[in-house]
Amino acid sequence: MRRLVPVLGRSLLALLATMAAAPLHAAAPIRPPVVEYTIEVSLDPAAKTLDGKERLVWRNPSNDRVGELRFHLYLNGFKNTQSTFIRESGGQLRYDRMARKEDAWGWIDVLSMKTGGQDLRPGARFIQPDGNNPEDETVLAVPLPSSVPPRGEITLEIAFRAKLPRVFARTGFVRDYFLVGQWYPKIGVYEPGGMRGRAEGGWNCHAFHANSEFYADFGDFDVSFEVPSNFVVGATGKRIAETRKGNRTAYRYVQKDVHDFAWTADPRFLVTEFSFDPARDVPAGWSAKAAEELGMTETEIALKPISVRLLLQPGHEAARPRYIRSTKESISYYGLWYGAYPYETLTIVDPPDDGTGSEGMEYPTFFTGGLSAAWMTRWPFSEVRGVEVVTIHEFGHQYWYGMVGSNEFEESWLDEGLNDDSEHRTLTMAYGPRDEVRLPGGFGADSISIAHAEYTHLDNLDPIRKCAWCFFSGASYGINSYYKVGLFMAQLKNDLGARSFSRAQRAYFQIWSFRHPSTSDFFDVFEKATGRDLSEYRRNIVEGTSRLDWKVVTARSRRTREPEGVFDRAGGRVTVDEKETKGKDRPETWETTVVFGNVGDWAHGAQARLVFENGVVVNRTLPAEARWVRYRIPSYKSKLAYAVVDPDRKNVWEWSYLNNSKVLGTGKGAANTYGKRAVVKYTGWMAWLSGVWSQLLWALA
Amino acid sequence: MTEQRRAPLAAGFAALSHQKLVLLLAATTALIGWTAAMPALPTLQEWVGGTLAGDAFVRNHPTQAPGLFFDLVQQKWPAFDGMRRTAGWMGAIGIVLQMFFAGGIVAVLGRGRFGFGQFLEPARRNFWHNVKCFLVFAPVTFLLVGIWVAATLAGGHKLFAEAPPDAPVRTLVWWICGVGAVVLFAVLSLLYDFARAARRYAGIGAWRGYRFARHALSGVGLRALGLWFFWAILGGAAVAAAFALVWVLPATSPAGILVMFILQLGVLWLRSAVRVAAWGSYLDFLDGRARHAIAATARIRYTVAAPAPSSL
Repeated sequence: MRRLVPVLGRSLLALLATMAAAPLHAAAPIRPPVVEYTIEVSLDPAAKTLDGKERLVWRNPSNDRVGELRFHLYLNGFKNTQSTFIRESGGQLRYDRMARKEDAWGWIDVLSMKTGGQDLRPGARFIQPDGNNPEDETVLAVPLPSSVPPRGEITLEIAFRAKLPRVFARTGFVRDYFLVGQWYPKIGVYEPGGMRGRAEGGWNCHAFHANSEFYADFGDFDVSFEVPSNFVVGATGKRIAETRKGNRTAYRYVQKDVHDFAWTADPRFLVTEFSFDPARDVPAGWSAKAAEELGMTETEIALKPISVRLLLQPGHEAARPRYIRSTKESISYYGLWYGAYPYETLTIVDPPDDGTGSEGMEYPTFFTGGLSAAWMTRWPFSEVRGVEVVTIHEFGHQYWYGMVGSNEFEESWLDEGLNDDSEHRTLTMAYGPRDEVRLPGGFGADSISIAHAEYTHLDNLDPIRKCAWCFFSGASYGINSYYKVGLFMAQLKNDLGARSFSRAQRAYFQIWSFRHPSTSDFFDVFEKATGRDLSEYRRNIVEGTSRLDWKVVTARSRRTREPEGVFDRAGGRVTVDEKETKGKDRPETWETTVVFGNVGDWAHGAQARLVFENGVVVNRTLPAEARWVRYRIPSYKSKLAYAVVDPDRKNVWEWSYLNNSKVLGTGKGAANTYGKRAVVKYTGWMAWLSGVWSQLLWALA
Repeated sequence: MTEQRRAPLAAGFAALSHQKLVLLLAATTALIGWTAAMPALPTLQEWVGGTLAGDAFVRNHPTQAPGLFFDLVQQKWPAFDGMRRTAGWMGAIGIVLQMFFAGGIVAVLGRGRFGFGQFLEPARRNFWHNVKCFLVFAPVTFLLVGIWVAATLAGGHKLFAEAPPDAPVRTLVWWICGVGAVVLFAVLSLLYDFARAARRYAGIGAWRGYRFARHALSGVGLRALGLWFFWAILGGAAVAAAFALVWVLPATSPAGILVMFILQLGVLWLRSAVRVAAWGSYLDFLDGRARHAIAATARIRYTVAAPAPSSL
């Protein structure tokens, strides 16, 4: 039996390798789609209201008979202080606070909902699928007079009226700026049994929480909206008609294979239209690098042209070239590594300085940028890449959320986190080290270091995978859904190798685009594509809170000494003491001992390095299962200069970098020299800053 | 006979000849700074000098320095917090010292060669006067400048809430708020300095010192403000330029670190020099007006003689 284990192990590896070599077929959008929306809506800019008619075709994707429909009415999250959204957020979210003004509230009323001439509205009721707040009105359950049969369909005619909130979280208005998101009755997702690990089919339609975004089925949208003619507009999809009616204009946009629709209107928008031309706009070398990592030809990963529309705020003109450049870089990176952007259009909205609550929000083929205020784009902040970070991140959501439609309520890491990782890599490719922040004088930070600082500054109480409103705080949601995933994916990439990792990630995108994957689906694809068992990553990092923290416990070098004491030798018993050994003409040697330890709780290997004063470098591998490893070199001609674990930062999941090294500090060597200089220099700096501070106080005295 | 006088600005520059005084202020600042920095030294020795962090910081390693910096600040924050708190207390001590020095400065500037004996005695004598002046100045300034800033911002917000962020009127509100606050501070600061300077001319108390300052500024307030802004802008620009130079200095070699220290001390010296020069200007400005201002603040008591007994 024991002999069988390695045989079985090798067979399993061979099987996985075969699967990895097999082509992973890209998914096509589901046809006919689950949902088809045709909406006509009119904006009253004075009252901040929308009056709309919605025709919805919903196709039952399951083999169940569905007797009830469920709708998201997200705008009711802004209706009063009793909604789950306001209770959880406390009226403050995403660095913005809800205004205490009469017009700040938002709501949506379903006036009628008809099928076959019968109005279903009287029988509809608000439900609270997440349990704890009977006053929440963000999910409407609508019983049907007759069930929708398996694979059958139903058509609904819905009339609604909505009031937009003053912007503080994603959607709403400020003055004449309107960012219209989550604005129409949107049907939830009916998940058939077996989908995302479900035992039985059922609705997945959560209440609107402070720390959660969205989840919806893919479908086709045909939306017409009417606004005063002086407004400049933008929307999901492609504009196919523009009809003037007196002093108002109706715009019609259509888009297939998306799961949401957003639009914007503002008379002050400055319009910049540009195209993404792959031949011209892919940065040099990126296509070849992607092809090499993916094991494909450049022709196979070729991109398509895209029409881009940038709606910029007056006063933000300095951000224009930065939006354009970073948009092209993100289209290039995501397209080359994961798959070409499949839509014809992309709209970027630049929110005003008093509407920052709508910054950094993603919708299909449409997103809002941010951090573009004039002062943020001027010296000394001109190389703080806020515009680029937001643009790349929100464009990235076209992939991780837009096309790979994971459930943002229940597994936010699959969109925010994977996207954070992709954003880091795009930034590094485009801007090199210190990709996020560069200040005059050489100060700056890169995205991984920032993610590491975020990871370690908060109590590590939650795992990455958790429902979005179940984290112990908003900060924990953010750090687990974004930063920790960025670190986890970077660790995975280092462990699997760039080629293997990139191929797996492309496979995951290709297989799950226009579908709804879960955490299990993610690991299934990665394990098949790489031929590796990744369960330890899932258990420790994604579903656990394990830390990895290798450190240098002790490091010392001592001069070796002649043996001393009482010895029985040929001529009899002799006593050798210090007086006799001292001054012997013998080359000086050193005994070196270094102990490395993993004080974290994730058993994972690391590289160790011992560097001697004569320049000799000794590299060793610390095994994953070891809690500590001692290296002892009894006699060597040079003293140890320093010892370091993970010198090349392969373990991105490390909890502390600071304890990764010890410099002996008594001998020669650059590390010691520079270390001492650093102490003098930075003590001087702090003394000086304290002095300057006291002199500033003197101005008051 | 009319006394031949220099312009106040020239007198300010002439005051820079009191190098011992400038060095005393600079050295005091340096001492305060180094004392404040001491709580962080053991942490720096162990975690910057004793690890590769120091090497990464000094050589500004492109990928490792930021992470190590964040770790150092987060994990060893108590040491830096200790430094911050010490800096706060040392700043308070600095304020007291400055009040002490001001008493000597007003007595010795423009009156021949500087000597510590001449400086320390009036510094001691005027100390309580300066403390009392400060206890008037600090809360009044905090209150008035605070009210001004709050009122202009709240008013601007209420009046122009619906104006777009790039509307000129929003910028105008910020400018009115900022410039108004600085002018207000300048006026109060001049009153405070002049009230302290009153002891150069007479042994008067704090309230009378402020009355003296008000009379001394009467009719020539704009000229005095001009002096204040000249020294504030000159000092601010010089310090900012020196600060920028120190900020961008790589300082990786011992020579580089030495140059950095010299520049840093230079910044402290510059700020002290500007303060002495400003005092030189103010005192020269006051010298011509002091007699009148002192007289104007005098309480004149009229004593009516009792009627003589009738000889009838």
